[in-house]
Amino acid sequence: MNGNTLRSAILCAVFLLLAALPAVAQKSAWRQATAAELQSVLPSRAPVESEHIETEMRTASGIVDEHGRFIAGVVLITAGYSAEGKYSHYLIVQAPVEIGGVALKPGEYAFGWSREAGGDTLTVHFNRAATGALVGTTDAHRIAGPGRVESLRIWPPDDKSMIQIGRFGIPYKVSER
Amino acid sequence: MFLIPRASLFLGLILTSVPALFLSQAPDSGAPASGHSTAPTAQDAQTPPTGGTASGPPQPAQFDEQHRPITAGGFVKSGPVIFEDISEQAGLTHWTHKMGTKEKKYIIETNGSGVCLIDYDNDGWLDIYVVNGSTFDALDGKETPPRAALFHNNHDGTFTDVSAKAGVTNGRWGFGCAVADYDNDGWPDLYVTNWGKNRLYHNNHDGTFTDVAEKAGVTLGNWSTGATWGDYDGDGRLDLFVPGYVHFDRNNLPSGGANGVPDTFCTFRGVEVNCGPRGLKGEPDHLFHNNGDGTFTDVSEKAGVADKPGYYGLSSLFVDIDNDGKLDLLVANDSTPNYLYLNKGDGTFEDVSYSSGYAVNETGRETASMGIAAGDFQNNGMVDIFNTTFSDDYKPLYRNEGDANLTDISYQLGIAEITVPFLGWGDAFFDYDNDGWKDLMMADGHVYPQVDQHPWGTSWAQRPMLFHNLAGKKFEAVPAVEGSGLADVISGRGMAVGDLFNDGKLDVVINVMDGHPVLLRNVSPDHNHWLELKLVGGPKSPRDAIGAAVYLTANGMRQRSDVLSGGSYGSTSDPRPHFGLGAASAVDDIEVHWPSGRVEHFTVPGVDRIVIITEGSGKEQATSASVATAH
Repeated sequence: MNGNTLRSAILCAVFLLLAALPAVAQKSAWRQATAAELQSVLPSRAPVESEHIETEMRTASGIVDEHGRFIAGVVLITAGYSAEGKYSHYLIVQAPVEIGGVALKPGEYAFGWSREAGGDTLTVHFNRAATGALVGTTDAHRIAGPGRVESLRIWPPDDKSMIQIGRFGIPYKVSER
Repeated sequence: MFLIPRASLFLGLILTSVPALFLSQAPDSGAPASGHSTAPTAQDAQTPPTGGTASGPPQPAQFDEQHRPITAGGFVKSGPVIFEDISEQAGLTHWTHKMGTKEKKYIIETNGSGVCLIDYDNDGWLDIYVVNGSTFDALDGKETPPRAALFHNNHDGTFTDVSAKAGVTNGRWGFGCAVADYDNDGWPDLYVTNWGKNRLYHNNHDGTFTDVAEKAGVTLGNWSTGATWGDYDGDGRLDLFVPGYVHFDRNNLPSGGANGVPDTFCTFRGVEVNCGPRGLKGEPDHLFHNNGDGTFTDVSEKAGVADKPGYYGLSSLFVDIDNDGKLDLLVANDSTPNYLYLNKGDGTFEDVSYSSGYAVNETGRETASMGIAAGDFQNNGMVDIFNTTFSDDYKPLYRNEGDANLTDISYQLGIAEITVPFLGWGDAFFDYDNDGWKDLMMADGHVYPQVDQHPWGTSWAQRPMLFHNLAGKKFEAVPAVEGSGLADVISGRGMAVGDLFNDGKLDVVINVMDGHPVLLRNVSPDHNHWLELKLVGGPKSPRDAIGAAVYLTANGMRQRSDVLSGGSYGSTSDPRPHFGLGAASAVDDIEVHWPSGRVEHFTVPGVDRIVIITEGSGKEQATSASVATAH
């Protein structure tokens, strides 16, 4: 082995270590929340704008870190509410997170989607639950291949770092701060 | 030594390409992201919607040129006529379905009833059984209870109602029926589901039936819906699955803001309608094991199919989804997740509803599932599933990917947007033009009479929809030619498909809410060849061969058709597997996978005929193990 090769090997090892660090850090910090934890943090009736909307608790999904901070969501039963057609899910954010590039500060949100022509993409919009103010929109794309379909699944960051809606997914990045 | 750099580069590549897995990224900002308009979408701008049934958001209203809702219009003046409505000349219009009052104040009054095709007298011609509803006045003795009808096929295009003589008038608040020879005596029996006790009509072999439900132990007692028969444990006897819908209590009628039911579950698009099913208590499902002595045992809990969450079951179907030779179980639930139970082969089932993809639609949303159609529309040897759902929602078609993976591909197939305004019920895959590809049809009609008072682009009475299969790649809506059966604007509910005239063309019968049944005779102008098979099971299979899968090779194609009972909303279609052969005048091979596990090959002397095939009389395949048949 010559010096250049050794230097390359060391650099790559360092890169490998650096690249792996966030995953290692996230692995230690965030895990899938249990059903009991989700039930304790998510409301049975979610305050969305001026209404309190029933939630479908069996669809709840989320992650929790070592400090007890949650990022968790649940399907809203919007039938009968003005939220129908606008929102599909309620989301609680207790640590800063970027979902498809949309930065969400700690707080409560409602999100919904519309299907793009052709059906391969959902345009997802995030709104503040209390006011309905739009925070941002992003795309959810069809996840390749067969697999478990989910009403909502927030995968842990050390797994897929993805929010799954049906067969569609949005990448997310959670802040450790 | 070079492994590390390569590995690190590989990892780096993965890390940097993760976002690319998702084709676009919004800017990293907390403000409304660019790349997408932050202005309210058309969807956002909709009038606030409401409702007690799972559906999509309100969709823009669609009207035809005469400003009729597209569900009650959109006709064309000319084109190929596929179905003729021959209900009147066939003698079916003397009978009327009735369920509650026209106002449909309660959910019990609005779901409607099914229809079954049954050759009850074994004369080789399908007869028609139509279930009737009832009224509160009838229950109180203030009026004569509506009666179900059994229409005997006179072999000349007409039918005669023989229900009174046959003893199958039911007289209860009926919803569904399912046909099977549960005692293997060679005569089809009839199970009728009600709000109230169900009936098991045993065929007496002389044109009459006897209700043996009490003795058999299959009466239940609240609101049962679309049942299915199948030999889930391979003992050669047909077992019975009965979904439960809502636990409906007449002494505690649901109404808006009363009896603990929130107002929100009693409105649709802001208009007050009948309440439910959401907000109402669900009725559990039941699986009855056939003991072989005329009695059944409720094994729901042990088998793992008891529906503990109390989902609102409307239709069910035993069918082999994963090609392992064992019957699996589908349950279409209204406004709650659907069930797919895989048969483990030990008398129990595994709930794979979510992992299979069948629980919800592609976007993860629960649907108001009404009916189940099962058929191999791609001719790849695997059974695909189509569910009818509510208006403001597309109808999902789940492609079978193998290994119990079902993928909703309605949008790719071209049947999503066009089905949105319709509220579908009975449905079926069948080859209406005998070109070798299974087409798709659904009967439609709304549950809220109030929709006719609003410009929502949907209607109480709706036309049925037929989709032509384009070689397994797309479906194309068949235009509704004025005056043809596809232009019938009716309150469609149960639907059954079968060759009522033994001419190789599959006809359709629809049970119409508060109306006359509709018989659509298939008059497709095609001249394609066909073959139908009447299967007779051997000693280790149910005698009527329910659960058998038939693979027919002809014309360079290998098709599959199954012997099934149930599926379509409260209805059972022709049990005889039907195959369109296109221009082929010969069949290369018929491969039958019997419920017993035996696999046999048969040949037939010609086409354009109905052939009886008996288990044990074919050429047995070397292995009797079930095999995956995708190719």
